[in-house]
Order: sequence, then C-alpha cells, then structure tokens
Amino acid sequence: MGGKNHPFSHREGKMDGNIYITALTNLLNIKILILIFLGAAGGMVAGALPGITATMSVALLIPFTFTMDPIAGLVTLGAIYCGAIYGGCFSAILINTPGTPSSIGTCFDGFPMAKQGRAEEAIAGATTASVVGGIFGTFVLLFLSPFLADQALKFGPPEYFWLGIFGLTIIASLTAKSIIKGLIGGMFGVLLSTIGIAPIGGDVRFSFGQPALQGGVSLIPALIGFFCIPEVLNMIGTAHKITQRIPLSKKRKGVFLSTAAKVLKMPVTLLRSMIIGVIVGIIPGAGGNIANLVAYNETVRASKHPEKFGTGMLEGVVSTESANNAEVEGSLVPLLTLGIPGAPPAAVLFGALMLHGLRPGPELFAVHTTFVYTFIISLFFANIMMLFIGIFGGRMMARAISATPVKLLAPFIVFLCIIGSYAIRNQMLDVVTMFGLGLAGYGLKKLGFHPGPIVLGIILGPIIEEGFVQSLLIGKAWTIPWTIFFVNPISVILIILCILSASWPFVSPKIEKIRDNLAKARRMKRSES
Amino acid sequence: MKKIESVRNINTDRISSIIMLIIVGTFASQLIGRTFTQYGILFPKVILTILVALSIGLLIKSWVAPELREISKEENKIKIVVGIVIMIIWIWTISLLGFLTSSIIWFAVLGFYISERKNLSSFLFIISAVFCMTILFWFIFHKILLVPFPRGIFV
Amino acid sequence: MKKKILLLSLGWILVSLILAGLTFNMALGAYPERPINYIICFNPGGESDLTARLQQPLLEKVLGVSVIISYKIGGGGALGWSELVKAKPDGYTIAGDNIPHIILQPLIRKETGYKTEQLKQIYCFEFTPDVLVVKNDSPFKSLSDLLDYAKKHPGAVTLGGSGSPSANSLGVAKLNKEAGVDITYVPFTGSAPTIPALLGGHVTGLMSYSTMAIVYKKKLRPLAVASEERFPALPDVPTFKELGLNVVEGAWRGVAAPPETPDEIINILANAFDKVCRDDKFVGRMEAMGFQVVHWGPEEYTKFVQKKTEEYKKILKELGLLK
Repeated sequence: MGGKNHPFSHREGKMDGNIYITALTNLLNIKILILIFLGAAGGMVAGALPGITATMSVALLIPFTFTMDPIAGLVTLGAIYCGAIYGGCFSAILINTPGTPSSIGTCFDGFPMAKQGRAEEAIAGATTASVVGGIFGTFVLLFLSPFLADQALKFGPPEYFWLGIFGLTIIASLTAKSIIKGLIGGMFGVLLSTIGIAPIGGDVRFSFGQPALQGGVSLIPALIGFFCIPEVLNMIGTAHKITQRIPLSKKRKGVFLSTAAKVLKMPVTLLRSMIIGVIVGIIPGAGGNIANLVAYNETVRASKHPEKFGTGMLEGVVSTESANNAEVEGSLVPLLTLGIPGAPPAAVLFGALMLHGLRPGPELFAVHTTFVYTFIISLFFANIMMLFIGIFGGRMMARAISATPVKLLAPFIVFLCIIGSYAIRNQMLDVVTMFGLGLAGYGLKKLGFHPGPIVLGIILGPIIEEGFVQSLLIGKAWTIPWTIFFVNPISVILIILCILSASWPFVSPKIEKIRDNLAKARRMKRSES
Repeated sequence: MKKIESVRNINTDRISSIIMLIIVGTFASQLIGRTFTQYGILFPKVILTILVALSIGLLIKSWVAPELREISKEENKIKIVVGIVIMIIWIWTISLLGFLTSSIIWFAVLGFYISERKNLSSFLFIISAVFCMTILFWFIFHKILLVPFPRGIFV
Repeated sequence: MKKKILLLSLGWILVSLILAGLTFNMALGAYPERPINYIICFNPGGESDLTARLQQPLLEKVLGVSVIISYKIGGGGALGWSELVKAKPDGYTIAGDNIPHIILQPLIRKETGYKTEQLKQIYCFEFTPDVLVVKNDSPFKSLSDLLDYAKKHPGAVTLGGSGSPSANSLGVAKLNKEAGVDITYVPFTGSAPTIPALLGGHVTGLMSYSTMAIVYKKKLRPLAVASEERFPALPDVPTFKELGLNVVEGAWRGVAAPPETPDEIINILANAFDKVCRDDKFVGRMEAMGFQVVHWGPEEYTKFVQKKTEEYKKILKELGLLK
C-alpha cells in the first residue's frame, strides 16, 4: 500500500502537512470560492431539473472553464458535479421525478413526505445527508484512494454480472407485497434495455423498423415518464378536490435544525449508506446510478419497521441522498489514482483534465500534487456551500411549489418533462418515449406495478448483459466455461449477497417471529421470577 | 344528497399477466425472419423466456390467490382523458408550430381546462403566468444552455 | 385589482412577443452568419468529444460565428448520423463522423437510418491506429510471444476492444486470419472500460486505439501497431506489417454534412477545419493525447471512404457478416 510507486508518496518522503496548507491557501481566495459557490448552485439547479443529468451539467459547462486556469476550471466542475447529484433530490421530493437518476430512491419516501406536508423536512434531511455523504466521501478520497482503486480493478465481467443481479434483488424489498409483479416489472425493464444495438455482435434488436430505436430506450425519458406523468395525471384527476397538491407545511421555525439533528442521530444508516455509495462509485462499470437504490435496500432490510418505508420515512431519504453524494467522491477515486473514471460524470471530468493538458492517473499525483490536493479539498468547500444553499433554497422551492395552484403546476410539470426529455439527445423521439412510457406507467400503477423495478431493469439490463456475454467469451476456452462465474472470491461474496437479499422478504418475517417469541419468552420469565 | 362512490374490484393479476404476454408476443415477433449473431440474441431470448414464465405464473395466481384492487370513482376520469389528449396534441404540434409557440398555447389550454373557475380574470392570470414560465425556461435552455429546440412555422 | 391584472398581463404578452420576435432569424447574407451546430455522436469525455472541444474555439475564430457542440448519442453513432442526413442542408448542422463506423453500420444492419454515401464528407482530421497492448508486467514481451501462446492454446488468449463490429474487432479478425490463430475478441462499450479489464487481469490484452496506449503509457506495453508505418508517438513499437502480418486497421475521424449541402459551403467549412487542424497548438495537443493528425479535404476524404467501403465489403463477406 505504501512505497515509492504509491501515488501518494512524495519524493522526499517527508510527511506533508505542507501540502494540505498549500492546498488550503490556494482555495481561500475569493475568486475560487465564488466559482465553487456558483458551480454548486448551478449544479443544484441543473440537477433539480428532470432531464438534465449530472453528466450533462458537467459537460455543458466545460466550455465556460476554458477561459479559466486548470485548477479553477476543475474545481468549478467538481462543485457542479457535487451540486448536481444533490440537486436531484428537490424534484424527487416535490414532484416525484428524480432530477438525476441518482435520486430515484429519494422519490420513494421523499414524495410521500411532501404529500404529508413535510416537504421542508424531507429537503432538510436530504441536504444534511448529502453534505455528510459528500464530506465522508472526500475523506475517503483523500486518504484511502490507492488501496480502494486497486480493489476496484478486481471486478471483471463475471463480477459485474453478479453485481447487476444483486441490483435486481432490490426488487424484492421494494415490492415485498407482490414480488411476482415486481419481478415482471424488473424483467420488463431489462427487456426494454435490450432494445437497440447488442453490445456483442452489433445486432439491431427490437427496433420495430424505426431507425431511431437503434439508440434504445434512453433512461431519462423512462424515468421522467414512469415517475412523473402518473403523478401529473393524478393531479388532474383530483383537481376538483384539492387546490394544492403539496400541502404547505406549518410555518415552524427551525425545521432545518431539528431535521439535521434527527439525521445526525442515524449514524448507522448514514455510515452504511455512505460506504455503499463510495464502493459503487469506485467500481468503474457500476455507473453510480444504483448507489442510492442499493443503500435504500440495505436500510430497509436492516430496519425494524421495513413496512413503513415508502410511506414517508426520513431514514429512506437520508440513506439515498448520503449514498449518492458519497458516490461522487467514490467515482473520483479511480479517476485520480488510475486515470479510470468511476462514473459518467467522472468521465467528463477526465475529458476536461485532458483538455487542459493534464493526464489523469498516477502521474498526476506525482507531478501535479498540489493541483490534485487542491481539487480534492475544494470538494469539502463545495459540500459546505451546498448546505447553505440548501437551507435557503430548499425552503424557497418547497414554498413555491406548494403555493402554485394545480391548474398551473400540472401543465408546468408537463412542460418541464417535455424540455427535460428533449434536452438529452435533442430528439423528439425521447419526448414521445417519455410520454408513452408515462401513460404506460399510469396504467401499470393502477394494475399494481411499482415503477422502481422497471427502472431498475432498464439501468441494470446492460450491466447484466455485458457481464454475462463477456464472461462467456472469456470463459470460452475454459474446461468448463460457466465456472468463470464462480471462481473469483468477489463473485462468491456477491452471490451470497444476492441470496441474502433475494430471500429477505421470505426470511425476515420468520426472523421477526423468532425475535418476538424470544422477547415474549423473556418477558414471561421475568414475570415468573 | 350524499354521493355514492361506487367501487369496482378488478382482478389486476389477470389483466396484467395477459397484457404482459401480449407484450412478450410483440417483442418475440420481432425475432422471426431476421438473422442474429449468436451472442447478440442470447440475452433477449433468456429474458423473454423468463417473462413468459413469470406471466404464466401470475395468470395462475389470478385464479388461485388474486389481488383485487379497487378502482374508485373519486377521480374525474373525463378530465384525465381530455388532459391526455391535450398533452398529445401539445407534443404533436411542437414540430409543426415550433417549440415555444406550441408550449405557450397548450400549456395555457391545459391550465385553463383544469381550472375550476373559468372567467376572464382567471384566464388572464393563467396566460400571463404561462408566458412568464415558458419564456423563462425556453430562454435558459435555448439561449444559455444552447439546446436546439425544434422550429416550426414559429419559434 | 382586475384592471391591474389586465394591464400586467398585456404588458407581459407584449414583452414576450418582442423577445420572441428578436429571435426570429432571417437567413440572408453570406454563410456563415448564424451559430453552427456541431453534433457529436458519442459520449462526452470520449475521443470525438475531446477533439471537437479542442477545435471549437479555433473554429469560432476562423468562421466568425459560435460553434455549438451538442450530443446525439446512441446506436454507436447511428442515431446522430441518421439525424444528420435528415437535417437541413444549409451548412448549419454538421456532425463528427468515424470510419469504419459509418461504413460498417449500413453494411451490417438493416435499418440504420442512413447510407454511407449520404454523408457529405467535409474533412478528415485524425487517425488512431489499432494498437495491441498488454499489461506492463505481462509475460508476453513481444507479439511473437503472444502469437506462440495463442497457437498452443486456441481461444485462451482474449483481447478486449471497443465495439462490435468496429476497427478493434476487425483488427483482431484480421490478425487471426493472417497469423492463423484463434484469439477471442471481447467487446466493451467504449474504450474506457477496456482499461480496468486489462489492468485487473480479466483479459490477456487489448486491441485498442493509439490514444489508450498513449494515455496509459506507464501501465501498458504496446506490442504492435496496425498502421502502414511506425506511429510517431510510439517510435519503438513495430507495425504488424514489419512483423510480416498485413494488419492495418484503426479509426479515422472527420466531419460531415447533410447530403444536399452546397459545395461552396462545404469548401468554406473544409478550409476552416484545415486552418484549425494545422494550428501548432492544436496539433501538439492532439499528438500528446495519441492522435495522428491528418489533413484530408472533401475530395480526398470521400475517395477514402469509397476505397474503404470496398475493402470492408470484402472483409465482411469473408467473415460472413455481410447482410
């Protein structure tokens, strides 16, 4: 872990408290701080708009950074990345549409909270969790990068396959009441993900004669359609009953502080989610979108009241938002140490570094040490800025949405959905897909299908397929080809996790019973004695 | 006079499984008559098979232990249908009239349709709010983020 | 109160109409006089994107209008190119295009949405040959080591690459034919995922592009380059040809316009790209990233596409991939 070739070992071997001080002084100048602030704020707004992903936010703002020096430019992009991932929680909570795919899980409990008039509490919780997650992630990035990056390399195609399957087992927790429908939804999502070009062989599948379907079903229109349109249609259908969809929360001062305190009193949930976030971020092929869902799943499974999730549990929002912000820094671990981006936005940062003439990788640390440390420490600042913007901006947004009457809010959301789904690839087809899937999602909801599994299927389908087929190719020459799926210790760990996760809905009520019986027995013993 | 809200119970399991089987059939029909590479079509075939199995399982469940859901009449179904129609027309006219124009028109129409009070001041309120919101966002996306929106007869 | 609302509304409507009217564009005057839309058909952060972003500021200076980079990702580029051929041929929409993608896709797929000939080529600016790399600490020190091992263990040697079919996959196919071995090609979606696969030891080596070999120079050992002559940035690496194997393959990137675009506009754009691609700083940056800069105008590029089309038709027939 140490040694001369270690990216973090500095030539003369002296311990560098200096480097941190230099980095800090670089950052404590007004221009940089303003850039971080604008980056975080801009990222938050972009992330809150459904359809603008974190990747797009960073990519769209790269040209603005050309006129800056590399460190200022990169620090700004980093702030945008952090802000965008955080910003996704706003639309997830207020209009049940994940602003970025990293906030899908936030919809599950965030939106019910908003419907109960607890929108401010949800946003406060999400803000606190995001900031804590981001700061945790930055510490990991600062001190544990090389070790973790090496572990990430151990993930090969079979491991990605099992990781994808593990992701699918989340369905079991989301739809404990009707698992078979959840599985059908998930498989339907996977089927949708196969539309387009096969990763191996290049075949065009299920394009139904439309060249535009070669690109497959884009995730964002599906997200917007499945999560948002059914809510809008509900709004329209019940407009005659209530004028405000999101009830105004009672004007209580100190919502933020009391919620923040509540969040900090959930250290186990926070820690578990943040660790999951970092791990998912580090693994290059995992993408980052699933960090919040895996964290949510684990929180539900570990909870004493799993059935309450989905009805407005603050813990749900906390787990998803801390995970996705920890994932930001996680994705930077392999980028800065090995030059391999851990998630698509990190890939854009990779490009930005290249454009500024800096090559990410171990050389970057050795040659531009101050630069790298300045960048990493700037993420602390970005997260803290997010805290402040979230405190004020969040309340404003919640009030604004509550104050808007349904007759304006519903069409406005439709307008945002159209813009959002169009802006991804500048294709009207995506708008049509969004709306079509939206109507389908409305129908499916009435029939008892939760949108989560379908979306999970769309996200995980490519990961599972590529892992599957690549493993088969690599294992072609093995004596027994399919053993390739079981050989690596990481595969075995993942398989065990899959079994645990998938069997949980069946096993957990039994564990509950055993726990209850034990408690009863203990009580009877006490009353006897 | 008390409104009696009638509640219908429908066997969602049966409907869903049949719909899913139809969907699988549609996708599967895309497989016949075309040539695919071995690895290119392996995975979709597996998924289609699993879906068929699950759908049949759900169909069986719909007889053995169906999940009956209530479809209440609390929702104003007509408004929803008309709303959907307006949205379809909205999306359809984007390339005809141009993004901004069609958005302004149909946003306002939808808003006015949903609105409970249909008088002049309500109409003007909606129109001015619509103008503000659409132009603001159009400006951010088109001029700042440089997203090329479709143009039709108008902008 | 009602009067106030009325006045306010009318005022807003007026202001908005004025704003909207200001954006009405009348296409008069010399080309170019509006912003040009430069479509990239691959992911941001990728090679096509990086090249375009390096070109963008210089293009804006030469042409005098803004150049807006937008993305149309999907189908390995097919989505963007099928949109390009439907766009208005007024010179305000251009797209980066890649050989062999634009040739292979219509030959292999049924409904690509475009035909190779429909893309009116403007300029070709870079070439990244295939490079066969292994890990720095790999037991294979030369290409012959690898090929010997491959002969003894058919199917055991795996080379990762980007896309299928693509320049990488064809490179491996050609190598298999020329050397009489059976190396398994493992496709990944893009060049980026191939690196962790190699570094983690999941594949034996990569048939990747020169850009990967340069960027990850410290971790990879290039065994051979699939170009006609030695690649300038990798002077110590032999070409396949030198080693007796006729494997020349790689990706060329250029820019194209919709089919009916007038020749005068094509020439203006070609001259602009030419100036940009001869800029010293631009060339320096590109070569540092592992690109070989090329300067082919419309006629040269079009002829090259036709030549390559014939070549790929033959290869695909031999491999049985032609539809």
